[in-house]
Parts: sequence; structure tokens; C-alpha cells
Amino acid sequence: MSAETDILAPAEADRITYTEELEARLHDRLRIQRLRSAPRGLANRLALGLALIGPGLLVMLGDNDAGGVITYAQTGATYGFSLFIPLMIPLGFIAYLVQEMTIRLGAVTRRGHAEMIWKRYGAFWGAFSLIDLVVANILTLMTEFIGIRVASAIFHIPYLVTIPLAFAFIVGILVFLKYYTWERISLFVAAFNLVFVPLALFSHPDWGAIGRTFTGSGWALPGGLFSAGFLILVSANIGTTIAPWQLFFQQSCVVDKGLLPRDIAASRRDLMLGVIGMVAVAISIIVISGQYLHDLPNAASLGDHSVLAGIGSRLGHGAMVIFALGLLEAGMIASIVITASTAWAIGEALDVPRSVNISPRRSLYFYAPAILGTAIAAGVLMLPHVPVGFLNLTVQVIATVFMPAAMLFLLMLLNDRELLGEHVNSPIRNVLSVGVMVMLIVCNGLYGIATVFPHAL
Amino acid sequence: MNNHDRFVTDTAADIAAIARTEGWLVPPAPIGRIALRPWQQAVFWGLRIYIGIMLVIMGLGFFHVAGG
Repeated sequence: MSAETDILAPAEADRITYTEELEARLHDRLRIQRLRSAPRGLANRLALGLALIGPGLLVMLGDNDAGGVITYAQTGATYGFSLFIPLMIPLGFIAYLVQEMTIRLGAVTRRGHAEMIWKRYGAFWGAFSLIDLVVANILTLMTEFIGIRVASAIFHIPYLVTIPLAFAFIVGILVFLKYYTWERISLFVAAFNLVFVPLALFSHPDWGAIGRTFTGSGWALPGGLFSAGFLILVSANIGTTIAPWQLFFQQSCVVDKGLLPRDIAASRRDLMLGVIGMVAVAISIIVISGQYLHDLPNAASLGDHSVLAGIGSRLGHGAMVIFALGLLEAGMIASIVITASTAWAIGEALDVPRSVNISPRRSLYFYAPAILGTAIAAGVLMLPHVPVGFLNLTVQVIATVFMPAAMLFLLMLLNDRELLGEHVNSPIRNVLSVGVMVMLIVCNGLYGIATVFPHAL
Repeated sequence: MNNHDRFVTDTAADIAAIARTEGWLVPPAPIGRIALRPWQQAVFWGLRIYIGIMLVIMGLGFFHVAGG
């Protein structure tokens, strides 16, 4: 039917056998190849673009998780229209800088992040990074189920119903669908992350004041630059932007999608699209909360309930419902991608067949640990009295605590010419990446000093 | 193969062809093990200590706020 069929005789083609995951991946690759070789019309180009998006959009919109939504809301409520609005743009660039490295590593080596660390540096250091990932993932998943639990209350559905349903959906699409369908459904869910943008646009914020934040207005910090409250919000906002699971997720996702070096440019566009979406959503939430929640008491410890109640009382029931929908979606999409990141990472570490294309009966060890991790998080959130609010900030900061070690492995791999050849990092990328690591350590260190010695800074 | 509906136009020859042209039949190059240099090990252990200390501080901060 196409030119490529001329290469092999049918009988020879029939003799080739493939693993289940490879066969599904080849069908996905064939779809992309056909779109590439189709006439260059607008419809075909759009279809090709849509076929190639996935890992970048998912990782960045999944990054705006339920904990992230609340962190942005706490940030806006605490500082109003402040330096955090323009800060989101450089944070977006940092996210791009870090995540782009996983695209090259995955596309060139065709191996996931955990596998690379495990095989290159041995089981000890592999376990070192894997334990960090799994601990951070379970904690982060708890914040996702907090979001789902609180949002479901707005829709008058008991959390004892919504949490098991959400869990069944997250696990069900991972276990029973092929990669392509899983990715498309996840992208559909991720699209609802953008509901915060129209909500901000129609909430009549003070655009003049927002614009002035880009020129230094509102940058004065009530508690001072070195207050624990400010430093934890800085760290938490960085933690919502870059986290260890994102490295593991995107690289494994690139591999499972079957992306190759020739797809790196398209994957970068996919990532950039995701970064733009992430920044737009983050700024939207800070704008909404900066405009309407700024005068609430204990703003830095606002829980999901308080944020939604505040939105409802100031912007009306409709806005509260849309915000709750966004919060529910944020928890869902993040749970979907974080569960997948755990599955891929543990599958790679155990060296078992690892792909969303694999049926569960063929690779129990790929699916089971991830399901267990998500079940633990969901189970904790089904308990009647769980402290939320500050837990969100704490979990976001914990992600940044684990990040320097994860980034150091990434940087070492990205400078390994034997593995990556011409795709190794440029010196400027290395300098910028080391700068990000140092910034993370300094921010967290300052927060630590401010916490233990409140009057030292 | 399970997803017949999605792949009705894909023949065995198509699949075999793309498998060959994109190199899917060749396993990825093996990854040799390399040992971390002493300074790298020192940095990683330093980061491990940093993680431990920060987790304790985060716990203190959390319980301080949670405890009012």
C-alpha cells in the first residue's frame, strides 16, 4: 500500500515476530511516518503536529497539579500582585531547560531515566535515585487526592465515592489501554487545566497593577526577603515547576512513544507548548487569588477548602465550580502522569518489560508497584481527618529538596559523549543547569535557616 | 495483536518496513557500567546529607505550623 512495503517481500515480513509493546509502538510510528510523507497541506501538518505532541504537554500541564494550584493560590493570597507573577516566566524557562535534556536522552538512547542511571552507575546509585522518586511521588499523589477530595465536595459527591473512582480511572487507563490511547485520553484531561485562564480573564482583575509587576511594582515583601514565609513560597513555586518525577516521566514517555532523534525538534515544540500552558495557568491562578483572596488571614496556609470558599464568596458560585473543576482536573492529570512515572521507573530498575503497551498479565511488576503507590496515597486521603493546607507547600518544597541529586544524574548523563554523541549538552546548558541546582540548594538552605533560627536572617 | 480496529490499514509488510528503516529490530546499544569518581561520590553523599537535613527541617516546619 505504500512505498515502504516494497522493501520487504510479504513472506519475509510475515516471518518477523515482535514483542507486544514493540508492535503497538510500530503502529504508532507508522501513523507518524504516513503523516510525514503525506502532502504538506494545513490539515496534514496539523494532524502531524497533533500526533507528535504528548510527553511535553503532559509533563508541563501535569506539573500544574492540585498541590501546584493551591500553592499558586496561596502565593497570590499572601503577596497579591507581586514579583511572583513575572517570576513564573523565568521558572518556565528553567522547566524547559531541564525537561529538554530528558527529550534528547530518551530519543537518542531509547532508554528511560531510571534505566540509564541503573545501568550506567550501578544498582546502588540507581536505588539512591529511585527511592527519592518513589517517596516524592507518593507524597505528591497525596496532594493530588486532596485536590480531588475537596473539589468533589463542591459537586456534592462524597469523597468516599470520588477518590476510588479517580483511582480506578487512573489505574484503568494505564493498565488496560495502549500507549497511544492512554496518551490521547491524558491529553484530553490535561486540556481542562486551561480552565483557569478564561476564569482569570473574566474575573476582571486590575490589569494595570498586573502589568506594573513586570516593572518592579509590588515587589516589596512584607516579611522581608529572608522570611521563612517568603522563602517557602519561593521554594514551593520552584517545586511546582520542576520536580524529580518530571525527569523520569518525560524521558520514559519519549521512549514509550517511540520518539527518535529525528523527532527531537518536534518534541521541543511539544515541550514549549506545555511550558507556555503551564506559565499561563500559573499566572492566571496567582492573578485570581491576588485579586480576590489577598486580604484573607493565614493566606500562606490556606487549604483547598479556604481557597474555594474564598473564590465562591468573592467571584460567585459559578467561578467556584469552575475553579473546583480545574482543581479536580489538576489532581487527575498529575495522578495519571505520576503513576506512570513510578511504573516506568520501577519497571526500568527491575529490568522487566515496561511499556503502557504491555498487557498486565505480561508484566505485573511493571504495573503493581505504581498501583500500590497510588493506592497508598488514595487510601490516606480516604481517612476522615487529614491535615491539608501547609501539607501542600511542604510537599512542593520536598520535591525541590530531591531535585539537585536528580539533576546531577541528568547532567552527568547529558555530558556522556559515549551515550549521546553529538547530542551532549553545550557548555552554556551545563552552566545554566548547575546554576539551577545551586539556586535550589540556596533557596532551601535559606528556608531551613529561617525555620530553625527565625531571627538569624 | 489486539487493536485491530486502529490498525486496519497497517499490513505486516508496512510494520516490518518501518521496523527496519527506523532500526527497531536492532536492540539499543548496550550501556557499559562506569564507576562514579570520588568527587562525584562525595557530591552525591553531600546531597544525601542535605536531603536528610532538609527533610528534618521540613518536618519541623510542618509540625510547627500544623501545631499552630
